[in-house]
Amino acid sequence: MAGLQLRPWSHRSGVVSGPTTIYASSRVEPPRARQVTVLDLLDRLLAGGVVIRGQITLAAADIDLVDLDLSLLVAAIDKAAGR
Amino acid sequence: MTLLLYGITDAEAVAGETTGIDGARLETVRHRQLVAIVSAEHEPDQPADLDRMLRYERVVQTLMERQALLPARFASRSPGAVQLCQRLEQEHDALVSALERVRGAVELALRAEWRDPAPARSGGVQQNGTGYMLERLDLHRRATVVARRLDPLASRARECRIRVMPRPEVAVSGAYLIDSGQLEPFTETLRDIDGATDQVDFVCTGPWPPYSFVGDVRG
Repeated sequence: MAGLQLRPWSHRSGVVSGPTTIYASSRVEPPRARQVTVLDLLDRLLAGGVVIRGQITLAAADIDLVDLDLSLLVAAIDKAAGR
Repeated sequence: MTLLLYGITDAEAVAGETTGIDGARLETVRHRQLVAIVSAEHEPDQPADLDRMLRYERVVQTLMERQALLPARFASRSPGAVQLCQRLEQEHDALVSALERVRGAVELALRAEWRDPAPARSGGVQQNGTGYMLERLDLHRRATVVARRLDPLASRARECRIRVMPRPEVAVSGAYLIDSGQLEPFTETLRDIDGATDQVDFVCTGPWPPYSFVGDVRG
């Protein structure tokens, strides 16, 4: 069974809605989908993006969250998401 | 004091009234046609907690809605404008090229997670080494099949980055750079793939600034 689109994109509303779950299979519970959204956020902030070589100090660089144990992050993610 | 870097763009008026993560005013450092968006940071050694990351992402998201932007990796800092300009000069061509690649586009993230996670979790418990390796091989083969089923999504994207089984419980993860107006067709294609797939569940998130498509400017 196909999933549901959880939330429409409000990119042009003028209000910064931020990234969210735009599609999840029907078996995926909303709390899990929100966890994935935060994990994707962390993945991108810590392992993606421009790094200017040389004189930039990276306080949190070269951490590949994909290799971390997911369970270690869940509590922190719930806290960050206000649950 | 250091400069916390949010992103690099080439627009004329960029920072607007947005403030940085600590309420500091956003400022621009211009070099040729490139503009680095920064804020002054008086305490650069603050812990990289999740709340701070979320605030950082909101700033970058706001900036992305105004112009093409190459987002910076969280906690990228420069000791000053002069040094930052030197780096903009050194990376100038790569940054200009990367900006053109992402202009008018956003990033979507996709995960395909095993519906039945048992094989991924077994970890070879109560198996000999050969049994473990065969199981992993089979899991990887199944993940490759899932990845192939995602091919129609790649045709909806300008670029994509696919990882097969980045972790045992994740069959495939992908990042897609799509035109801003192509979100709905992409989602519809994913819905069709989901309807024809019974081994994995999908979660697609976004729209993200193009963190995964900044080219070779990664340090």
